[in-house]
Amino acid sequence: MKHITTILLTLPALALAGCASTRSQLFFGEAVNFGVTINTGPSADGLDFNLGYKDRSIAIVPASALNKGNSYAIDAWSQDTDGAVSDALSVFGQFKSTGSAPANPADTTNTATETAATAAKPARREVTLGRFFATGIAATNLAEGYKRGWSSEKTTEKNNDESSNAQPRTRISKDLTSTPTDTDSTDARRPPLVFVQTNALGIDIQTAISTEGPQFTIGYAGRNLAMIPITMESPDGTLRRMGSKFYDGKSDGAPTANDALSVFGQFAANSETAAFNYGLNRFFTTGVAARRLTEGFRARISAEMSKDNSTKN
Amino acid sequence: MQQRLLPFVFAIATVSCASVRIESASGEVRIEQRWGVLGVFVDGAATSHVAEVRGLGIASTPMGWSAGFTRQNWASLGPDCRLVIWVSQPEHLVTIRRLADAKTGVCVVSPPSPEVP
Repeated sequence: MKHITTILLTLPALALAGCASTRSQLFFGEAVNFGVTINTGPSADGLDFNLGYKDRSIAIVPASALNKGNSYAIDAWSQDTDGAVSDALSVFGQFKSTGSAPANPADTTNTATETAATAAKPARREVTLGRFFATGIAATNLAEGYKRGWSSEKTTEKNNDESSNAQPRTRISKDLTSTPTDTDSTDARRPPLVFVQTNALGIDIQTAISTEGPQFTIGYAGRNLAMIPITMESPDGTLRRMGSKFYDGKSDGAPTANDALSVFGQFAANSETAAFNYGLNRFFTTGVAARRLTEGFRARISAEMSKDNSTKN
Repeated sequence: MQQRLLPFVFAIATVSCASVRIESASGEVRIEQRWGVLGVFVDGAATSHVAEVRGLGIASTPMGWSAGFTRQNWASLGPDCRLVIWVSQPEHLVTIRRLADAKTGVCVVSPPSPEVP
């Protein structure tokens, strides 16, 4: 009788566990669980079981697709004053809100008409981005905005504006839109780009590929993981490199730079980097967006260090 | 006696309550509050949905399966959403909406309103 009761209680749970998996579509999420957590699929990178507390932040971005027997990178094109960019891996996401961050130094310049009281207060941004998630050209635009803010560049109307490219040339998304069903020839479920952060307290078992075997934890376990596909397999078995291509329009259509691995992530902010007042806490970015963001960081770090050196001298 | 009681307590505790708030790309908001086992499934990759789930009990969602307390925020995105912004301060909503109207592919998730049941 005791065993029958246990089996009856376990059966619904097992049935549900079989149904719960994250398909490889564009997905971004956070979860906090107390109790029993079971997860399979791309978001867990294997089977994941937890008894106790667990929080997870995940982003799953399909980077390539198979359509009518051909492999495509799910890419975006953008055109700005620096040239054209083709990018398959642009993602820019922030899991944790930093609240109202101070504006950049260029915005805090006080005018002569301001009183001493208002001048003493740091300027605040009208709108600060909390939790957000962007891909493709949107990610690039967002990173460009941060870059300009940190490097105090002035905004021009034409630069990298999606409205100027009314129809971004996302090659595969059109096919995916017209063929959304599972029975069709489109299969977007190729190995996606996955970014996962987990904190677990209690008993945690993971059979992830990335950990090279099963892991068993009693107590606390924190994991930060990014899996980024860098090659795409064609139906004939050949591998093609994925990534970003930069064109300056002067080299007969040949790309002037190739970039397959631009990734820029910050798992946790410490007090030193927070001193830059950059307004980003826990974030990750890839592709052209990562490149643009690092250009902004480069300008900001350079300005901060120059200021430090001048005060020492 | 205690051993016999434990499975029943567990069964009653896990079949409990859940609240699901799903917002589509068009701005349509649907809120479901139910008792029992919760199952949330994303239908198709071509449409965008943003969901907020609070539950105590058994829940099966795209984030996995859980028994106990769960709190989830997730977005399943189609081609119509390329930038999703969760607005935490209601006073920022107007400005963000203006940005979303001016640009294609920007989806805004409004903060939960206290008057909404």
